[in-house]
Amino acid sequence: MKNNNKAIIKKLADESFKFNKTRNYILTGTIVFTITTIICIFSLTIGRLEANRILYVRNAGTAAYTTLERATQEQYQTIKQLSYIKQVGKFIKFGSTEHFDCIVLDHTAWEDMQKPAYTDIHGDYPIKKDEIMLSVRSLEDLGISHPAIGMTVSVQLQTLHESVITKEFTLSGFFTEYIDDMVGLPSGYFSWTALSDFEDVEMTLFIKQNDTISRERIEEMLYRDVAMIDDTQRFIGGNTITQEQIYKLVGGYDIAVVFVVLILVVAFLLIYNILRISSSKDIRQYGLLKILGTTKKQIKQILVRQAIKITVIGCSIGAFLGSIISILIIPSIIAKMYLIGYGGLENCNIFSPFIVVFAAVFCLIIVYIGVISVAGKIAGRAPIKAINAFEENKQYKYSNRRLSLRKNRYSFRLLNMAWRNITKRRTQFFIIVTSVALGIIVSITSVVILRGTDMTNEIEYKYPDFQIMTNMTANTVNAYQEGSTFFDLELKNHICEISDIEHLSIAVGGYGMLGEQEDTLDFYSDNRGSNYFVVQILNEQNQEDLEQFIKENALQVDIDKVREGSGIILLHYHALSKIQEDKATQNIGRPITIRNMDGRPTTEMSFSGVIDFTLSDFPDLKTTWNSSNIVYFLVSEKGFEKMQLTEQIFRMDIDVGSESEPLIKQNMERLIAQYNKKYVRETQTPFGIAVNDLRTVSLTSKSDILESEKSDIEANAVVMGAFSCILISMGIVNYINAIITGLTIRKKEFAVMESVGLTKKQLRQMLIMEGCLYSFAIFLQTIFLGNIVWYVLVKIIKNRINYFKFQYPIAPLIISIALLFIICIVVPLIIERKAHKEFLTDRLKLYTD
Amino acid sequence: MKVIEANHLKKEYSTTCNTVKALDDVSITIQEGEFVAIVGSSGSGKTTLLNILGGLDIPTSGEVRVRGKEINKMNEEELTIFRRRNIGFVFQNYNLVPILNVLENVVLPLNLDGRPVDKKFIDKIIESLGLQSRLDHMPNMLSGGQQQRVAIARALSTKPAVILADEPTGNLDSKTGIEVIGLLKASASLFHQTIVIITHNEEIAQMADRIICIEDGRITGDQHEKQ
Repeated sequence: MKNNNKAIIKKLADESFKFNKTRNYILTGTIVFTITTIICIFSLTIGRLEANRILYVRNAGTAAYTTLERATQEQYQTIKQLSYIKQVGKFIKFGSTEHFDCIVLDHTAWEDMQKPAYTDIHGDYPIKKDEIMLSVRSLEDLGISHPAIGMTVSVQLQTLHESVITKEFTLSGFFTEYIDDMVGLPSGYFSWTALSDFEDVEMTLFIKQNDTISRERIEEMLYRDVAMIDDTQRFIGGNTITQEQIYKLVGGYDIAVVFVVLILVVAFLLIYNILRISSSKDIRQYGLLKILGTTKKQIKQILVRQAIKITVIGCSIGAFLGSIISILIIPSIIAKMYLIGYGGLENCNIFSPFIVVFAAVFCLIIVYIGVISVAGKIAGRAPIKAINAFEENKQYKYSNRRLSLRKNRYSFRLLNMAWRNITKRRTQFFIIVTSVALGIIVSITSVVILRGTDMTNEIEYKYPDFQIMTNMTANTVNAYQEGSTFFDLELKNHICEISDIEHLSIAVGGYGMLGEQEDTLDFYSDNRGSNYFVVQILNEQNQEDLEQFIKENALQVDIDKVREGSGIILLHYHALSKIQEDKATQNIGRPITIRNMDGRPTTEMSFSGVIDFTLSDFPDLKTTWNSSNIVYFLVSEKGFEKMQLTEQIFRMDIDVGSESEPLIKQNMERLIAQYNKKYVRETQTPFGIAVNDLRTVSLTSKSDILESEKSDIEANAVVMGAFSCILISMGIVNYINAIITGLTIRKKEFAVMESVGLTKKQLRQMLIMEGCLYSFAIFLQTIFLGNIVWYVLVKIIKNRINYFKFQYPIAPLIISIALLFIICIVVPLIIERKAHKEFLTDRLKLYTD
Repeated sequence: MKVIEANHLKKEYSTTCNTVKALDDVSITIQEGEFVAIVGSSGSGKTTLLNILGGLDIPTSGEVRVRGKEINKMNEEELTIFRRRNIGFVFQNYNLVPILNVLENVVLPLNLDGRPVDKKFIDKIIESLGLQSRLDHMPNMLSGGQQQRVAIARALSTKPAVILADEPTGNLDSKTGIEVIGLLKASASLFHQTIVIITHNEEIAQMADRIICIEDGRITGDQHEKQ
């Protein structure tokens, strides 16, 4: 019974391939489109993530996420062996100069942590003892504007023990870095052998954890697994750049995965539907082959052979097109839009062969699944039914038509006929409607997400229309006497008088002093920049928000004491190690002596615990200047009264009506300039700039921030638009393909109807009705599914990104649906017009020859 | 010797409203070399009977034996191959494979079976059906009569024991129809094959050795040629 004949299967597959030219073009085109689209979507996403990553890395000056200060060799070894750590690099500081810090890096720290933050790297990392590698900025500061490898650079450096050494080095390399001047000095790199001359060095470990581990989690894990050398040694955790970017872009890995799956489902439906529809034309032929003795396996082989040919051609063209776009077009768009002034996309590759391979394999798999399922359907059909497939349809149509034209209300009958026509092939109808609806939903969802996470919303959420803030800090207040105020009441009153203010919030508090020996805060003594502290009054709303935050994060803080007016909370800027935090918890309830600016004790407050200001979702308390070495307290109004400190205004947040904003801005600027004038000392500096007194205030207006981010916001909008267009086109192409293939197959059906009296006009009306019904069904499904998807997604993202703003996508919906209606009506009419160019008799003969 | 034996065949089609009996307890035996014509009005069940005899359709109950083998107990794969080797089909609308030329269509069942083509035998069939000059033609280049002759050649090519023909002359004019049946009969007798044919044409039915009448799914007459 064994049946094996490759030659005839090949022959049948080859001939069938040649015979079905239209189907081949459509299917090949679909595969080309799918692969190109997948490659473009992923390249565009990777490009945007990569651009953000580059910006982040270049701004930060390092690609490391987490650090450990004052690390030992043992700690390095321990961390290196942890399964959740990807890389650990050594960053050893042994001194500094006026223009750069003196640093030695190990291979990992240079290659994987620092190098990605630089561009235009010339030469190599120093190997010999007298070699040095510097940034272009440091070289310029040293007076070298045209650096050359091998040139001698004279360096005067101060060791960590403050001894000064002058030495000549040979320049082994130079690079461009992008750290903000205000943030700190750039690094100058030396060789490992150079370290032997310096006894006191400080090693910081640069750590990259696995991408999915958050900042809070990595600290927790590292504190658990690595022994600390003392109380104050700490890990400073950071989110991985990838995680940070994914969060900012779509709201998290899980949503990104859902998004990718949806895109792939749309692509699958696109290819599967075309395969299904185009094969229905062949059902009769395969039924005949079955009668003549072709087995199920042989039919599958015939179909698979053809599909392989089409897929290989489609995949090759698609991969080529996608690669060209990803290599030539997308990087230049991304670089132009996001990385002006940041060295472009140098050393970064948006194009990934993996994506191409993935897209091609994905297409191969879905074509294979599609063909196998279609072949199963064809082969599983009783042969006698298969060869009569078209006769059945013909009879069915016939009776419908007669019925319809006998009635007077023929429009309604035509509509009825159109409805029957599209629902007759229910699976096809369902797949087309679902795939187009999904395409539209995915595309509109991308608009919703990208619009919601847009930088404009972040700025709108974070900043009031105007923010006026004192320039005084706890670490600079010591120069002023008790009783001084740094934000005049008069200025406050002037501001309050401005008309059209919609919302105003004023943060108040005071400055005071701690004793030299403050036992309750001994855990914090090494962090304190000075004995002066800042204390902010929590209003009722602040207290409620904080209480909620404490509850949600299960923090050990005695908020009740704060409410009563006897408790005080220490707010730190991620300055405490785990051990310090534990010690702080043990000290809860112990007294802190409060002194005024003159150092006179005023009262005792009960220590109520510590809170890390940098924890995610920390409530917006509208704080004043804070940093890791500032002592920052929070009290209630009652508590502040008890402290007997001079009340200070820290900042004023003002929201105004959008129409009056420009005018108010002008007034505000004038008012602040006048106020600040009182404190400007016309000091002659080498640069001839007047120096401001710290009693001045700063004005930040939202419109200025938005203006400065304008190019980024516009770039995002363009990329978002491109992304959505690509996605929506997938759904639309599916519809066009399905309709073209479907109508080509229905040519004979139309001819039969025409032969019994259906006029061209009636046929067109019926096709328009079919198009409208399709559009309406797609519209309903889009609205139904879309609203569910948007509701769920928005709920999830809002919990994660507090500035996420949901705008119902009414405009994208209207545009998509309008486009859909146009396409649904125009495409069938074009096909019908084309069909009429053939003689009726020829069309009638179709599929029976 | 019995080539086809069908016992108590029933075929029912159920719709939501009622059940239609296409065949109602039909039993039939056909001997080797017989030329049988099945006649009856439209919807009488003749095509259903032919399809069941050829294994293209499954009876609701009853059994069919072809050359002693009970075909409705075979699985799909076995049935396909059995059909390919033992039964030849000729249809009213010819059912040629449009992507293959005349010769390729004729030898298709042999190729599918992986059997070597008996060139002499094929030449003989082609010659007897007058298709020598059309071997390279595609089906759409042939007239209806020519296409039906190709279909007959294809049915004969595997030397099947039985040829089942469902209104093979339905699409042909009467002269060509008689000619085609003549050729079919001559070829079958040349190759010792059994023919079962469905026809509406009285003249063609008269060319058969035996005429079976069927009405409302039941055999109403079985008339053998007068000796």
